[in-house]
Amino acid sequence: MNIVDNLLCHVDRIVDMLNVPGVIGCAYCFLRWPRCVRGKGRLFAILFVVPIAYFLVVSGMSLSGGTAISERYYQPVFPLLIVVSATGLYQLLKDTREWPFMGLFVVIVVIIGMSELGGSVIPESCYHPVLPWLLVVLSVILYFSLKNMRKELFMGLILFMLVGGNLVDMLDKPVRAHRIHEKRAGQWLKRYDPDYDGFVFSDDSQPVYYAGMEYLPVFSARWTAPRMSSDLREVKYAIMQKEIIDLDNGSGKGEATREVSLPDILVESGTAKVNHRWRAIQFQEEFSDSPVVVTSAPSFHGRQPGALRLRNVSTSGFEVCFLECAHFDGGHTWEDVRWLAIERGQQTIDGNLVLAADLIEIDADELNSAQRVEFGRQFEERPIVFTSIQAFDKKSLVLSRLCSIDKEGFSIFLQQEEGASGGDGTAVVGYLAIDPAVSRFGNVRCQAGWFEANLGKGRLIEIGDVQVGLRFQLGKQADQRFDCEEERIGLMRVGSDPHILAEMQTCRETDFTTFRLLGSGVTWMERYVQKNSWTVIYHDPERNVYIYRNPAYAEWVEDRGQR
Amino acid sequence: MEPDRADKKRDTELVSEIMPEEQNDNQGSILTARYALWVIVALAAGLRLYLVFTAQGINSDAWRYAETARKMASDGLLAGMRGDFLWPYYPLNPHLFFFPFLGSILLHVTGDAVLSLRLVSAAAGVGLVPLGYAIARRLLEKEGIGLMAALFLAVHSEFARASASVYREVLVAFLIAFALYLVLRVIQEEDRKYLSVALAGAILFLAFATRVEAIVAAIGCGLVILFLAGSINWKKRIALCAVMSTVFLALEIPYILWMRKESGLWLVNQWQISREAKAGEFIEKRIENRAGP
Repeated sequence: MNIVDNLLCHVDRIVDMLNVPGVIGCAYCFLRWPRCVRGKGRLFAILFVVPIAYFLVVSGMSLSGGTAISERYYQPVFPLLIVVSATGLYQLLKDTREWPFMGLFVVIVVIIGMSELGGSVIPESCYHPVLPWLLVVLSVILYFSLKNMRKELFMGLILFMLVGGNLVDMLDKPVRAHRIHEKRAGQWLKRYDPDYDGFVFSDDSQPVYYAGMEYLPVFSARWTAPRMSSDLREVKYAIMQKEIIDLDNGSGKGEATREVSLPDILVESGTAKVNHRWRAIQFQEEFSDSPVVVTSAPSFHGRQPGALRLRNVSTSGFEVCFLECAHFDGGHTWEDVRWLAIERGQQTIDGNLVLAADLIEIDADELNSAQRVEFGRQFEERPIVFTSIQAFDKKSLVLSRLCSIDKEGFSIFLQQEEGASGGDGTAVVGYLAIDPAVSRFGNVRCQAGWFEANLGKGRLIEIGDVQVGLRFQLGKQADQRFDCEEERIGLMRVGSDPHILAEMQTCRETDFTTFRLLGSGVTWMERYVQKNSWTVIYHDPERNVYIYRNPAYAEWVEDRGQR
Repeated sequence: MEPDRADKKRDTELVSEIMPEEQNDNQGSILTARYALWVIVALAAGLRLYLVFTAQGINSDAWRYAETARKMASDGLLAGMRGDFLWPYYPLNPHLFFFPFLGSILLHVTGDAVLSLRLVSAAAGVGLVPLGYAIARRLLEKEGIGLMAALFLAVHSEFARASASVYREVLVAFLIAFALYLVLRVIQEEDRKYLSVALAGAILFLAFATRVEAIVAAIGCGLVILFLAGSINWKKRIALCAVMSTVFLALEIPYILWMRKESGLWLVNQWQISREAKAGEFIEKRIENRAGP
């Protein structure tokens, strides 16, 4: 595990928790240390020693895999940091007389603040060339404005920002407002069946608590179900939340305003069953040159995370296998996969690229040193890019990870599991960049689009007339985070089956993540409920909270009554 | 003095306390600062109560604490600590007892376990405001810094929202801050040193019985007494640490013995049970025991 990464993650979270005035106060306290502590530094150090020791323990526990970390875990020592911050803010108010110093400080704060804002709101490529100059101009204007401002007004402004900003943030919405749908579902169930207090399978504990029943987590179903009767008759209800996502293809969710067909291109596609052993796939028609082969996310028959690896891609076929993450034994059950082989080249319409497929050599193994790939021509819209490693001389699991995709090209690097070794080297990667408007290439119908998703949770995606569960499997990671950044995920359905191609199009966070497909639902319980015809008795359309009733429960009650 | 003028003067003093000039630092009226502190505490209490009574949902873990508090309220503290009612049915409740215990006391008044636990968090959050003031004032001997710390603790959005949630972290924060305050008293004052460290030992045990990581604060407090109490001789420092540790252990040892009796395992904290227990056996027993409708 990377200790530095881990500690940086924790620092990042502490900064998030302190919020802007808190960070400013702490920063100022360090900056003006002698004036802030006035010779009492030794005693004042208590305010750091206890939090630092506490943070190290919390970090250590997450590093050893003992616990996952949430921001609130830091709160026990948080008031001590608030005292530090208050000391800094107090000094800041006093220092309003010292204009050169204050001006410089405010300028630095503004620059940092705007850089943060720029990074998250504006696409990176847009703000890079102009922002530094803009910041300098703004800072100079701000500096002279502040200089001429009355001291009391400036102090009032700081206090107003400190109190007002926090109050707005605090009272913006009720505590846990996002859980209101689960609460309503639970209260509804309580009214519907006030006498039942037995087991309920549920995605979340909240509705079961409000229903006054006994909670069995859906994630435990694979473990608890074998300990119950065959039709789970001990459980009367299941409460599940389906988040169904429509794909965005650039023209609005689920709608296609233009369709592009590319019949003159050699493409072959098929499905295969794959396990941890190499399996040879032959093309029906031979390609003139080695084609680009990309594969769908594998199915989820085996729970161990991993990804597909290709080798020996030739004009007549290729070999494929499933590679598990390093901390598993390697042996893996059969998974269903769709593959797509496409001839290398570019397709244009009205001078704009609509499809590009090629092979590239990659040796970059970090986000910071990601290798840029230029198409040479432009797409009309930002394309969706799918990649696969077609040759790599190491056996370790490595993913090709994309970032900075724009109309002219993309950046790519090889990502290996955190803490794993043997992932460095040069890989031949095949890529397929496609305009989401393309609906057919060669003899293959397709539908492509993207969505933004937090990788902490699986998603049910509606693509055409099928719903596909897409599950994200995070590899072992240093920070053990619950809360992941949202990433843009590109998808493409090929043919009529639900084996979709899926790949992350952004790299906002470098968690090692693999994708898996679930035929009819994201969880085992969702599939079980559908297969065994549990009755829907409640549906909240706003958040897609469903309550199902188990038909076998009534029989069980009857049996017990007769006995 | 006319009432209006008196109020105006007090307001001026209040402003000068929060944003004092250099020359005002040592002249500030303590009385005015205390008055300002009460205003800030009232503000903190008002905000937290508003958040408590408008809260719309609970976090994922909340139900476990709510059920534990219910069990404690109905069948007593030890029944709640056993906690054989919680999935996945460990031999001991892996969720530490002090937070739900406080909730169970309020439950008799409110009748709602979640509300009771929110109120415990809120009370701890409000209690931290004067504690923050007291710690800052003790460390830097400035009323203004104390008031600024109190104000920041009162209005800090993240902390205020956590204070209205079913989170035990705010309670631990209060306990750690309280223990640290007592330790600072020991370092800086002559009177009732042994009483203060004894109380700190008890409070640190309660913090340990709320969140296991609080043990770090207990060690930290011991180190502060040993190495930062420069005005006290070494012999006395060691004696003070010994008193604090003895009180901590006097509460911890019966707790360890009780856990041994209930689970057959040597544990220092209930939290460990989540790693030790064979949950499968318990769920089977639970399913078997369910009487149905």
